[in-house]
Parts: sequence; structure tokens; C-alpha cells
Amino acid sequence: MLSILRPQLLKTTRRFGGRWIHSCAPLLNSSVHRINTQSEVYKYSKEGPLHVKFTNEHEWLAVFGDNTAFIGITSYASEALGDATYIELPELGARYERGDLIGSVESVKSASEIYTPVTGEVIYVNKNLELKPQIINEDPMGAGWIAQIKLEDVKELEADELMSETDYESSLQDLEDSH
Amino acid sequence: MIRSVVPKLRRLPTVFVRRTHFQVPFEDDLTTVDDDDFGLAGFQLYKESPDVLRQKELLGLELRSDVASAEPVPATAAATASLSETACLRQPIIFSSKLHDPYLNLAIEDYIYNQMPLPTSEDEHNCNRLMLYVNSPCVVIGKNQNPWAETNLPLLNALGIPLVRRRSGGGTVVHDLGNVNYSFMTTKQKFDRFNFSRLITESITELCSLKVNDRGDIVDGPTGKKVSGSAYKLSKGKSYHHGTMLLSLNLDVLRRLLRRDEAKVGHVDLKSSVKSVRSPVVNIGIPIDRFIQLVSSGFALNYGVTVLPINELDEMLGLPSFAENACTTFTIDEDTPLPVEVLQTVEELKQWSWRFGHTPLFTHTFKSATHGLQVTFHIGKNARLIDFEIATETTGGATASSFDMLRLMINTHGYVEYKGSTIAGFITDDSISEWIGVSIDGTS
Repeated sequence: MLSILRPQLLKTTRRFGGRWIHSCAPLLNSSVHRINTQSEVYKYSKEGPLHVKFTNEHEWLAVFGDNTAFIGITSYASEALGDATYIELPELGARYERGDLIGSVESVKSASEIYTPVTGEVIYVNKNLELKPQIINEDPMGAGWIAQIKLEDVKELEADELMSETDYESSLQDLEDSH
Repeated sequence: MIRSVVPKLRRLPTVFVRRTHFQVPFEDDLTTVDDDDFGLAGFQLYKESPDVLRQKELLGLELRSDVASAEPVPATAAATASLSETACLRQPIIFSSKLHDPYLNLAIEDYIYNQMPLPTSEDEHNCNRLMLYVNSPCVVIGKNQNPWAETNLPLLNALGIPLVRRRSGGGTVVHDLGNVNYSFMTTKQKFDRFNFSRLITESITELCSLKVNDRGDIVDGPTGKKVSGSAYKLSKGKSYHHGTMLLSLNLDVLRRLLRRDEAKVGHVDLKSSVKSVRSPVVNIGIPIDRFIQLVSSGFALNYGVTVLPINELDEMLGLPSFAENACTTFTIDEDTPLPVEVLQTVEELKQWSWRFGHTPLFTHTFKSATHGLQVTFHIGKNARLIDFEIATETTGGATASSFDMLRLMINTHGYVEYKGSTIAGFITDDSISEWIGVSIDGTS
């Protein structure tokens, strides 16, 4: 979802010696792209998720043995977006195609869309986000999960667009370097 | 609403041009006299050697010749093209709408955004879009806002001012003919909250002193009051930054439309949803045409395509050093045939289910001393009344029982749409019914 992820978005402007300057917080250091082991996502199964995949739109997907997957936005995306003010959730019971819009995160002043990287039925949505959108900032890769999807086609998980944690983090490094 | 289907030849679009290189000899200096008397005619046929051209390409000094010939002059490309053709062009374009219908303008903006191509690595230039439009009076709320909490709905309805919900985030704004709306569209990678705000302030810096604050808002330099409200949307590969620019908006009307007297229109408790950040505002007092012209020039200067001069002689001379940043403007007016997608979006935007139904959960409480009554409505998804509580000063009695029908309707159907007239219709006491209906949205 999130875009961007250009450092500019994260800039803070402050007055310095009569000029407005921008500073950019060191982001990558603070981003850890692992599912929070204390969260209900991890504990969904005793062994934790089978694998965790990432999209270049900064969504994560935690896949479990029962062919379901939890979906959310990455720590990097959550930091770049800033304080979330409203999370639009997908419809419970609805079927979404890979690439479909399933919701959005509204933060400070932008509405950022979320797309599903897999096809399937939404079997669970994180209602907590409706009342406390800030959870997505506090624990984006745990309590801030957005929906659980029943996978229709596990082959989709092999798609090139779905990255491993290492590949995702190196893609972030490339993003940083290119700006 | 549906315009004539015959595409008309429209006036030549305005081309904003800024020379980026100094004049080199021979351009305008060459006349027939030179040709005849000084034997300079041969220069007209001069072409740089392929090696030189290749080198210039590498340095980015010249358009690749194949691209240049495929798109000879961007300015004419859109001159006779339709909106749908122009919206797909792989070059930066300014869309200037002369329409004032807020639903139409928002739908056209959405269409242009959806159609905007993403530049590929082989592309010479960006495909950014700038849309400028002025709406007739209306109140526009953000995607996830609550119209009951943000506006004085009874007053809006009494004045016949439409309440419009846009598809981007952010807070509530008031539009009228003294306000220009801009919408800057680019890729998601290039998204930046500050860039376009800065472009605007720089473009009109000769007329007024504005600043961009740390929220990315444009404010009046001396007073720090807001002159523009902006909102952003990020989708797959794309992003837009759109906003209002207060030139000569009726600020008194703005305040009245957004002022809520809780004694009359009730107290709204938002479980979640986006609250507007209220800020003092001021007009910048620039004529609309001048603002549009300056911002369009700013866009052309920053994002325009470097084109070879339209001048035939220059073309023959193949002088690349006359590069200019130019940008096509496509004007949308009453005669512009609109794509069917635009009309569909207009219908979607007008639906009650979007304008009101998209509101996140909330409760709405009304108190009346006259009736000795307090009512709290619980409104669920899709702006449906799913429950209510009443507290009366006197226990039992006629007051409470006048809500029996409403309770029955909720129990039977699961919900009642949260519209003043509908709710009022199920309240059996006439004066309570009138009061509730008027307080919800001015209908009863």
C-alpha cells in the first residue's frame, strides 16, 4: 500500500538559523520486519506462521498451515504513514481477487489504499482497528493485522511479487539509496 | 448533464512556455536577405552529425529523434482529441474545467486520475496531471468523516447546498466560486506532501507572500492563517494531492455552514472517524484567472516536456538548444463529451449510501427542555439507526410511547436509515417528530 516510502514523507520541518530545513529520521534501523511473536497472529498456530511474505506495496502476508493468511501493513509503511486516524476494513465474507482493493489507512491527511496479494474470502477482520486505529502504528506486524483470508490458490504464494523478509528489506534499502 | 456527443473542434490549447536556454545566433536573425546576400541559406539545412546527436542524447540534452517524431508537437496532440484520449497521453497535461458542478468535477478528477498512465523506464518524461476547477457552493467532507459532526446539516438543506463526500482523506472544506481547487497527480514514488504546495507558493510569490507550514498547508505569510486545505490519496502506483485555494471565498457563509449549535443539532459522539482540524482562514484576493495562469505556468516549468520549438525554421535548423518547457492544457466545458465512467462516478458520488452511508459508527444525542426528553441514537454501518435510548423527566407516559413505532421498525427490519424525515415519520407525537427530524438534518 504505502507508497512512497520516500524519506521526504517522513521529514520534519524546523526552523534553523532563519531557514526552514528538513530532517529525516533514520528509518531502516527502527524497522524490524518480523511478526510479533506475542500477537494473536503469531499464536494463531502453535508453530507460528509457515512463512511470511511481503509486497512492494508494503503489505505483509503471514501464511498458516490451514491455507489461511493474515494480511497487514509493514512497520516501514506504518512509520512512513504516521499516525493513523481511520482504518477502512474489508467486508467480512466477501471474496477478493488478487490485487483488489481491500481497504485503506487514513493517516494525518492521506488516504492510502491496501490491496490483497492473494485471492480468497475474508474470514476475519480486525474489528479492534475500527475503534483504535493507532494499533496499526503501535504493532503493525502483530495486533495491527487487518484481515484473515482463506486462500483459494496457494500457487499465488509463489508469485515473484511476493518477497521474503530479506528481499523486502533489501528492496527498502534500494528505495532509500535511490532518493 | 450529458453533453452533446459530437466532438467539437476546440480552441487551441494554451501552451505555457519558458525558455530554458539562451538564444544562440541565427534563430530569428536569419532572414531571406541573409540567405540571398550573405550566402547563409545553407545553414537552414544544417544538421548535427549522428555522433553529436548521440552524445547529446546521452547527456539528456535532446529528445530522442524517434520520440520527437512520434509526438511532433504535444500542444496540437490534444487540440482535437477527446477527454478520454487526452487522459491517456504519455506526457504531462493540465486539465482546466470550466464546469462548476462539484459532482462532475470530482468525477472528472477521479477519471483523469484512474486513466493517468504510469511512466515506464523507456519514457522520456513524466505523465503528471494538474486539474484546476471551481465549484458552485457546496460543502466537501473527507472520505471517512461524519457529515452530522462536521457540518450544520439543517442549514445546508435549508439553503440547498449539496454535501459532497470526496474519495481522499482529510477534513471538511467549503467551496464556492471564489475558491479554486487544484489536483496534482503523479506516481506513488514521487509523492510528497510538500512539493506541490511549494510550487504554488513559488508560482504566485510575486502577488502574495505565502508559506508552507510543517503540515504541508499553505498559509498566509504575515498572519499564518490557512489559505488552502489539502488532502492526499495514494493508490497502486499513483498518488494525488488536491486542495482548495481561498481567493475570495465568502468566509461568513463558510463559518455558518460549519458552525454547529449542539443545543439545536445535537451532540455527535464519534466512535472512530476523522475529525477536521479547525483553523483560522483568510482569502488571498488574487483573481481566479490569474491564479490559474500562474499555477499552470509553474506546473509547465517544473514538469513540462522539453519540446523543440514549433517554429518551422527552428525545426529545419534542428537546433536543439531552443528547448522549452511546455505543457498542453485541455479545457473541459459544457460541450466536452464526457466518458461514460465519469457519469457513472457522478451517480455513485450522489448516492445517499456514499454521502451519508459511508459514515463510520457514531451516536447522536438530542436534548429538549420543552419536551423534557433526551434521545441517543446509535448509528451503525451504512448510516443505519440500529438502536436508541430515551430518557424522560416524567416516567413512562406519552412522550416515551411516541417512539414505540420507531422501535418496532428497528426490531422488524433490523435498522432504519438515518434520515431526518424517515426517523420523524416513525415518531407518533407531531411536535417531537418535527423536532427530531429538523435536528437530524432539517427534514421532517
